[in-house]
Amino acid sequence: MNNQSTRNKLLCVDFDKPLPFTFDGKLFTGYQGDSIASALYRGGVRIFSRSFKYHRPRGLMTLDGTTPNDLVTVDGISNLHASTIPLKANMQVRGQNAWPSVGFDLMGIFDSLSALLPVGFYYKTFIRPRALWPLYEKVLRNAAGLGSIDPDPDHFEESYFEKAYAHAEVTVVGGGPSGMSAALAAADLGAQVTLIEKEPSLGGHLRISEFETQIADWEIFPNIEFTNLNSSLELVEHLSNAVHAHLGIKLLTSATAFGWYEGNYIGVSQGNRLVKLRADQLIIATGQIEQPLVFQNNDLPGVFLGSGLQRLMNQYGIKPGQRAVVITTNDQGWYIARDLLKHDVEIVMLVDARLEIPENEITAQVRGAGVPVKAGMTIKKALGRKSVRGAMLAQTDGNAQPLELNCDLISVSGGFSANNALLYQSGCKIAYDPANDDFVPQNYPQKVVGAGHTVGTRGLEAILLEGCVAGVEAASRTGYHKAQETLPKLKEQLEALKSARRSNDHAHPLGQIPTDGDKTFVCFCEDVTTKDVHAAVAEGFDDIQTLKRYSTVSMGPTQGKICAKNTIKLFAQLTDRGIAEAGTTTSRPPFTPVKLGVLGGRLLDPIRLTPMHHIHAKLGATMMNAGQWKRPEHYGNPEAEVRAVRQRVGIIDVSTLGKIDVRGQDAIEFLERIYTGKFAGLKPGRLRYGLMCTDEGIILDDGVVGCLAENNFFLTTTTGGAGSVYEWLTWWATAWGLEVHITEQTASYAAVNLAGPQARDLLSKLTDIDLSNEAFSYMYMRLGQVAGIPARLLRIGFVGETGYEIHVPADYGAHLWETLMEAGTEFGNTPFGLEAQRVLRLEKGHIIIGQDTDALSDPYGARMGWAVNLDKPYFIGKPSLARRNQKTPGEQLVGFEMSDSTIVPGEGEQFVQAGQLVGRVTSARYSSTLGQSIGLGWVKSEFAAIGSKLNLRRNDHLEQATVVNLPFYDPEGKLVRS
Amino acid sequence: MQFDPKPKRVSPLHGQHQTLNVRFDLRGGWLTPEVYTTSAEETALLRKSVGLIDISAWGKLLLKGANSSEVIATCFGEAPTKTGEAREIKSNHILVAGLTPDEFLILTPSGAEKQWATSLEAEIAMQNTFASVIDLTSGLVGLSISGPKCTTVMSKLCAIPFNSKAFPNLCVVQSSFAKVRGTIIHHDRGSLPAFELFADCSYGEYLWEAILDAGREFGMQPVGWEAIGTINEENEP
Repeated sequence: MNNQSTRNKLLCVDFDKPLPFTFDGKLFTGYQGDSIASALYRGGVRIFSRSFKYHRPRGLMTLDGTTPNDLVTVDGISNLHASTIPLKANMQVRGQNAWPSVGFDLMGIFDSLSALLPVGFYYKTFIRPRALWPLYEKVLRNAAGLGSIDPDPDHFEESYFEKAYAHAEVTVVGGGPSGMSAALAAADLGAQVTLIEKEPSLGGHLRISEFETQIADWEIFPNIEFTNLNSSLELVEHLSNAVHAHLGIKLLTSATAFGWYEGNYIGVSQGNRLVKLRADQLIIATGQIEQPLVFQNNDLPGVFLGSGLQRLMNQYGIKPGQRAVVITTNDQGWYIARDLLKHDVEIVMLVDARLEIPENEITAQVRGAGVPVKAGMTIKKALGRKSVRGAMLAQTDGNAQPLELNCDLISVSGGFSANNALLYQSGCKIAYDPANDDFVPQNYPQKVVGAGHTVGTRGLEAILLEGCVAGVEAASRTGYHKAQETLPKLKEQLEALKSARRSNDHAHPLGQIPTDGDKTFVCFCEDVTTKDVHAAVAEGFDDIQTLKRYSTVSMGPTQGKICAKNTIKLFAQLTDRGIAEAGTTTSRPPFTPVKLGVLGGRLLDPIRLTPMHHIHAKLGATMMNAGQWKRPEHYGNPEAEVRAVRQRVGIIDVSTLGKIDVRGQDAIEFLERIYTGKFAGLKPGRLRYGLMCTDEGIILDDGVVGCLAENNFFLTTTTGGAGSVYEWLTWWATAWGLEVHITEQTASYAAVNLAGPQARDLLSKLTDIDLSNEAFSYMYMRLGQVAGIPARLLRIGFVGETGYEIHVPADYGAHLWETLMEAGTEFGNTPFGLEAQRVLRLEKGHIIIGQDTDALSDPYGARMGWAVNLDKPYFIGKPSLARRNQKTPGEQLVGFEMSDSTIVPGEGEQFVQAGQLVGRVTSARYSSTLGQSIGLGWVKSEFAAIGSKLNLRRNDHLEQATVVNLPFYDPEGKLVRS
Repeated sequence: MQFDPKPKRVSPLHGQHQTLNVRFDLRGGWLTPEVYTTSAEETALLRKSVGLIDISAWGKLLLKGANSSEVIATCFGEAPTKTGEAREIKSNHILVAGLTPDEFLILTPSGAEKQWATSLEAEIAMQNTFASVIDLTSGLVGLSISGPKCTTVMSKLCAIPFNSKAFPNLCVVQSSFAKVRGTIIHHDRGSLPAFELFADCSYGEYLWEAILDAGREFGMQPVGWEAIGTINEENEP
C-alpha cells in the first residue's frame, strides 16, 4: 500500500534513501527519516502490539512514545517505542506480548474472559486450592511481563554504554518555542546554557503542523532577531538556527531528561549515554501532552490522537486512512481536520463537544471546505474488531439516538495536560486550575521555574514571551544582570497576554467521563477501564494514591502521560469531589523508562598493577586479586616454588606492600604513640617490627619500621592495610598536632623479596654492599646500589630463610627483576607467588593480619604480647591492653598439625568438643617441607596448651589435630638469621 | 656480572607503549614515547580532536610544610602560589601547583627533579622552617589529555565542571577521576586546550585505557612527545 502524500515542508523523510528491515520476519522497506512505526504503517501494518492484560490489538495512537501501543523488540532489545526509534537498515523488529504474532494472538482469549479478570483480580483469584499455586505461578509468570530477554550468553552482543557529567549555569529542558526562547534569552545575557530536547530536532509542536503565527508585535521579544515570521515553520527554523549558532548554548538533542534529583541534578539519557547534569538554574519547558477521550473501544487500531495524525501526515508523509471522523472538544480538532483535508482524507464528520463552536479562522476554513460539522456531540463507541470500521456518536446531553458512521479512522482531540513531571519532582506545588482545565504550578522551589505549555500558558505569543522572561530571570540569578531593567516590562506584557487567553478553549467543557459501557479504557498500559476504577472505589480505595496502587492505573511504561488526568477526573466524579480536591499521585523519576545499561555506564573498576606485572604475565603466572591489585598466585607449580625457596633461592614481587614516609622532629614521638612497641632509640639502618592496635586494643595492622636518618622513618604495612593505615596516621598526626609529615609512597617503590639459602650469593653479584652476616645482620637495613639502581635493602624474613627485601624506585622495577633473574640462573632462582608464600610463612608461624586475626583479636590472644611494651607512657590502645594483660585471653591463636596428613582443613572449619564449638581454623596448608598438614587457628584457652587434642568437624565426622609449638619450621630461627 | 650501569627509567605505561611499537627516546634517564604513528598525524590529531600523552617522566616533587609557599617563592623568584592555582616558571620549565595551603606539587623537566629537590632543601634549611621535599617522580603517573575535545573526554570520567569559567587555565584540583584519586591541572599549550592528570602510578594502565575508551568517539589515540614538542615550539614567542 502506498500512502505517500505530497511532499510538505515539515517532512523529514528522504524517499530517495530506502532502508530495508524486517518485522516478525517479514521484509519491509522504510526510508531515511522514518521511525520504525511510520515505516511499518506505510507498509500496511496496523496492529503493532497486544495490550498487557487482555491482549487486545493495539495500533499507533500518538507517535510520540506516550502510549504502550508501539512497544516492540528491536535487534533483541525489548520494550522500545517504535515511534521514537529512527529506522536503520536491516533492523530486525519483533512484536511483543503475543503468540504466535501480534496479528493473530492466541492469548487474545483473555479479552473474552475479561469478566474473570477485574481490577485486583490477583488478590482474589488463584488462591484456592493452595496446592495448585505452583501451577498458577508458572502460568502467571509466563503470561505476565512485557517483552523478553534472551539469556543465552552466546547470543549476547555487548552494547557500549557510558556516562558523562555536565554543568550549566542555566539548563532548559524542552526545545519547543518556549524552551528555545528561554535558552536564547539567557545565553544572550552571557549565561552558559544547556538546552535538552528529546527529539532529534528542535521545535516541539511547531514541527508537527504548520500554522500562521498571528503575532501582533514582534518587538516585544528581545531575543528574536527577525520580525514578521508569519508561518510557524519560518519561526521554528529561525529559532532553531539561532540556537544552533549560539556559542553560549550547548545543545543535547535526542536526549530525555528523565528525572529531577536533589540540588537540581538532572538525569538525562541520550542514546546509550547517561548525562548527569547539575544545573544552577533550571527552566522546565516540556510542553503539553494531548489527551484522549474515554469511550468504548477507545483503544482500537485506527483511533488516533489528533497530534499523532499530524505527525504521521506532516512528518512522515503518510495518508493515514480514507474516511475519518474527527472528534474534538476544542479548536485543536479543527486544525487536525485541516491537515487531513490537505492529505486527501475524506472527513465524514467533524464532531465538536462544545455546544457553541467559536467562529474563527480555522473553523471557517474547515467549514468552508464542506466538512459536515455537529456541535454538542461526542463519540460513544469505536466500531470494529481489530481495526476501526465505524464510529458511534451521541449527543453530549444523551437525548438523541446514537448516530453510526462508517470510517476507517477516528481522530480524537480531548484537550491537553501539562507535561510537568519534572516540576512535580522538583517539589513544585501544583494544583488544578479550572480555567485551564489543567494542573499548573502554584509556586516554584528555588532555582526552578516553568515556562510555556508546561505551566498552562496558551498562545504562541505568550509562550515565547514566557520563555524569554524565564531565561532573563534565570540568567540574572546566575549573576548576569544586564537585562534586569527590562524584566518588569516583559512580565507586564506577559501577564497581559496570559489574561487575554484565560478562556477554556482547550478544555473539555463537560468534565464527565462516561462510566457505562464495556472496554472503556482510562489506562492503556495496564488495561484499566472505567469499570475497574468504579469497582476499586466501591471496594474502598477512595484515595487517589491507594486507587493507583490497587488498580495500577498510570503505573505502566508511560507513567500516566495520557491517563492520569482522565483518571483524576473520573475519580473525582465517582467520589463526589472537585478535581482539585481529588488530588494527584506522586511523580517519581524516572519519568520515562531508562535502560539499566545506561544507568550502569562503563565498568570503571580500578586495577592496580606492579611495575613487574607484564613480566609475570610473560612467565605465565596465574594472577589473583589482592584488593585492587593483581598479584601472581603462582607460576604453575606452587609446591616447586616452595621447594625452590627452601633449597635454593626464590624471588617474589612484594611491590604492593604499603610504604609510608614519616619525617619531622616529632617523628619518634609519633611512632611511639602509634605502635605498641618501643621505637625511641631506633637508629639509622635499624629495623623493628611494628604492631598497631586500635583504642580497644584490637590488632589493626603490622609491618616493619626502618630508620633512614635522624627523624626520618619509613613504615611498611600490609597490602590491604596501606590505605587505611595512611588515613589512620594522618588523622592522628593532625589530632595530636605533632610536627611530622606523613607521605604515602606505596607505588613509588617496586619491591622484591629474595629469599633462600643462596639469596646472599646471588645478591652479592649485583651490589657492592657487604652482605656478610656480620656486616649486615637480621633486622638491619642498608642503602646502596643494586644492579646500578639506588636501593633500600631490608634483612627481614617473612618466609623464614635468609632474605632481602629490596626496594627501588618503581620505574626501575622491571630492570631489577630481570637482572636478578639473569644473575640467579646459576642458582636456580625461581619466581614464587602468593600461594607459595602462604605456605612458607605458615611454616614459620607468621600471621597475616585479617587472615589470622579479626575484629576481636588482641596481641595477647594472638601470642604477640612480646610486641607490646606497656612501659611506654602512652600509645593507642594502651589502657585496653593493660586491662587485657591482666587476664587470660578467652581465645588464643595456636599452631596445629593434623593427625592424618592427607587432610588439609579449609579456612573457617570448626573445632568442636562434645558437640560445642571451641575454635576455628584461620590458615591451613600441606607442607611438603615438613611432610605434614599444618595450620593456625583460634581456640578457647583451655584447649590451647601444647599437646592438646582438637577435633576438627568435617562434614559428618571428626578429624584429629594436635596443638604444637610455633614456628613449625626452624623453631630457633637460625636460618633466617644466618 | 655485567649489567647496564645506567639503567633506563620506564613509565608505568611502558608495557602499553611496547605493544604499540612506539619509537622511544632517552630524556633525563627515561625512555619516553616519541612517536606512535607519525609526528604529523599525531600533531594533526591534537589540533583537530584529542590525544593522550604519557608525561610520567616529568619530575614531580611534593613540598609540604606551613611555610612552603615562601620556600617556593624564594626558590623560584616568584610571588607565592595560591591553593588551586598553578604557576608556570617559564625560565625553568617548571610548573608549581598549589594543592593545599601547605602542599605544593612541583613539576620539573625529566631528570631535573633531584637538582630542584636539593635547591628546595637548601632553601628550607636557610629559612629554618619545617618543610619536607618528597620525590614522587616514580610514584605518580602523568597523563596529558590535549586537544579541542579534551573537556568532553574529561567530563566522562570526572564530575567537576571543566568549563573555562569554573576551571580556567592554570587551575588545579584534587578529585576522583575514573574512581581514582588524582590531581588535575588545566594547562593549555597556547591555543591547544589540555588537562594534566597525576595519580598513583599503579593505576597507570587502568587510567590509560579508561581515558582512551572515553575518547574513542573522537578517535582519541596516544600521542608522542615529538608532536607535543611541535605544538610547544609553535607557541613559543
